[in-house]
Amino acid sequence: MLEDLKKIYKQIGRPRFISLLMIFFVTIPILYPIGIPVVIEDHAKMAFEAVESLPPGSKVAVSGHIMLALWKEAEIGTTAIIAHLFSRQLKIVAWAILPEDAELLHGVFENVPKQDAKYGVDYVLLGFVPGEESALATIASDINAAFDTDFYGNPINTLPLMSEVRDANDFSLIVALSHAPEFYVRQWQSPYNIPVIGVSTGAGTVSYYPYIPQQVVGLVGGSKGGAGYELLIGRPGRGILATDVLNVSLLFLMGSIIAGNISMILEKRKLKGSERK
Amino acid sequence: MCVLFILTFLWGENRFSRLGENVYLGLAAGMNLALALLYLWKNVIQAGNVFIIIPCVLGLLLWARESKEFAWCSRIPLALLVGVGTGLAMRGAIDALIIKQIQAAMTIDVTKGIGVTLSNLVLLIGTIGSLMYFVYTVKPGKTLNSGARIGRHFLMAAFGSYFAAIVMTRSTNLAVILNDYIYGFILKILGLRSW
Repeated sequence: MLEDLKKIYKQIGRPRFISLLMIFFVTIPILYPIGIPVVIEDHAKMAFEAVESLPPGSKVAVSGHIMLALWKEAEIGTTAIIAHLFSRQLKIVAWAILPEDAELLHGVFENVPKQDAKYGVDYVLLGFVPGEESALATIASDINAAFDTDFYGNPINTLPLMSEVRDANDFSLIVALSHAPEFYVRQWQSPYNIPVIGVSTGAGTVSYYPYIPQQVVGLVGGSKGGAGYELLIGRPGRGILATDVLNVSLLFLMGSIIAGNISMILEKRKLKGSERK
Repeated sequence: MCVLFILTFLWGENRFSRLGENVYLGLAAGMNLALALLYLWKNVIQAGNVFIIIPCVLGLLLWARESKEFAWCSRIPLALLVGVGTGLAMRGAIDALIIKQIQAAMTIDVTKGIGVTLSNLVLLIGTIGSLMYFVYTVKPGKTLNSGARIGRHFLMAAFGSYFAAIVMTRSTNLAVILNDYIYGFILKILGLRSW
């Protein structure tokens, strides 16, 4: 077995060998789930408590701002938090400030359990509005100025929920599916004092840390945060699978880095020894 | 198929990996263009909102940069973009990004236990050290150099944690792609998973 591995290593080279090993180690927990315990992050707990503290009927804004390439990881936390909002009977107004996010949010709303929530009365998907930060500023000052119709083509004045919201002051919380928390802090939290919950990928969590806990009250960061949130709402799903894979792959990476450093030290000692001779 | 083609890059650049990359880029560009045109169709033509033609014309003027004779026309929409962007960013920036951040960095909370106090102290030292690393207007002395050295270590730790976060994201993406698009597809064909 070891000789075969050495032959393959010599034939294909180190980078490809490590990539193949990585795919091998990632495959194991997908095919045979290990069930490594998930530690729920403090930031995910803070986000959960922020949603729990809202009385039923409160209005929550959801803003889609995640690139399609990163959606698969962010979808875990997004699905969990929207399911939680529906289970708390909160009213949701969602929009997208990146073109692809409108369709992605539509997919989430289609698949998440809605607890008898009715479209137009309890939740609305408004669709895409261009401009990113300027779109957020416009929505915060007057939502009717940014949207004429919703994602499905219905005029927004025909939707009962939209008659209850005019600007940011009508919302109790905004859920930012984003890697740019500063947009939401500048345009929603600072001028209107609306608390922000962030949902992002693992890479995006770093940009949220300077704003937690005063400006951003919670963060569902990456698959780990999403898995923790799934456990908090009692709905384990893709996050648990992803965390299993993440743990195994990161253990493999750590092992590779340690092995690489040890081999480097041994080589240096070998060279020094041969130089002395 | 695109995912499989791009993964063949592991074996080295080949026709399939290039096809996958080009198809992916083309799809992404095409989708963005289609969505932008759909937005214009719905909000300008169908809604009859004539005023949106003004920003459309300004957007088209940006392309004037390609012409040597009319390149100056692109300065107008560019100036507008920069002005609006700066104005929006300034709103809330001073309070949210400067004052509140300084307050949070300077606060050392002694009421929540020794762990929190030490953590706040480390944050303060790291912030000051990192800022000292980027001071170029003062002649370097012993104090500045010592502070900058501490700041450099904090910066290295911060970049390391950012790199680790990116590795986590890529690992999760790989897992989800393998699960959904490759193994999931194979298992569904073999009848071991439902469609």
